[in-house]
Amino acid sequence: MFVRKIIVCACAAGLLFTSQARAGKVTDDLRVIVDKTLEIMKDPAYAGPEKKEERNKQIHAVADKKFDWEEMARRTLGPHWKEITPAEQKEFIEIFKDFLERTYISKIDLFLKESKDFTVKNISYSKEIQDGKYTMVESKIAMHEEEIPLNYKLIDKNGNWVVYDLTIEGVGLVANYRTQFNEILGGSSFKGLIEKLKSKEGLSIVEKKP
Amino acid sequence: MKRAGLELIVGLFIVAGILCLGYISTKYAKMEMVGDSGYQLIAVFPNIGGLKNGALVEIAGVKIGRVKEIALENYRARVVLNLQSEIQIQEDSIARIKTKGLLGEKFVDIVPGGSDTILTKGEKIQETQPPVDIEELISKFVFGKV
Repeated sequence: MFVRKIIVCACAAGLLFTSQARAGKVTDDLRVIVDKTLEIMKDPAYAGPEKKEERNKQIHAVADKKFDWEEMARRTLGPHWKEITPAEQKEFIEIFKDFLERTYISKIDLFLKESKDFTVKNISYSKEIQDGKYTMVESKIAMHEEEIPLNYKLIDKNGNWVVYDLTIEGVGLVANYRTQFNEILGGSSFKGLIEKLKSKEGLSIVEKKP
Repeated sequence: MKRAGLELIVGLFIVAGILCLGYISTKYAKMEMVGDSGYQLIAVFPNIGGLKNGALVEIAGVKIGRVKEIALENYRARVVLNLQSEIQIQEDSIARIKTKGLLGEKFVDIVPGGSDTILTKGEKIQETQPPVDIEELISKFVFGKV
């Protein structure tokens, strides 16, 4: 009986120590946000161009809890972050966030329009790898008979795990934009980069403020 | 006496020749003669695509070190980079595996970050990017993606 208890405890302890590789609490919290965001995007109550702004506000209200736009924006600028003023840093974070929203939400909208049967069940979370204050959550998106790897990189900020980067098929969002912004800043100024980001997104929420 | 002098000169020539050979071997075989100077950082990649020991580590095309060791760890490639001691690598730097030319040798390119935290010896570069598979990309472009 005593030996049996030892074996059960050892198995439980073994599961605890291997939890760093399988999906855990960080994944569970992230999944709630991703599922909620997808739910809002598919909600027919927000269909139509007149509801777009309201819908995007709802998406931000959910996604902002988990996505650290400031950390993401800072990392895309790399060493150039310290070259700009605090006011410019604040401006860049807003412009970059708007840029991402307008670039990717429209793409996801188009995809959901073409794949009406896509649901949260098409997203599976396979692994959670924690390394100190960093965690990577590996997920796969099943669509058109193939699986696309989408990984989230999170950082621990005072006990709150927030997303600062995404990789799709091995290509990182931060790495991609850091390279591009580095090239743009090499041949232009910070203002030039801001104008480029604004021009790709059209009229921004920032510009509409009085 | 004359013979001893001649033998001495021949001996000196042989030593000089061996030293020259050693210098050329070191330079072109890319081997370090006087131990490993600098410090080491770790980078873990899901795939290194043929990166070899001794490969260059560069920032902006400038050599800052070499790959010292490659090993498999949890089915990922753990790469030890030996870097020049005066080079500072920020915590949010990105280590990418790139190719010199279209079919050239693989090397590690480090894209500097903006963090105030500088990595110290033995620490890990968290952000890594595996090499782009050119053949797969061309294949997807030519034949289309399913």
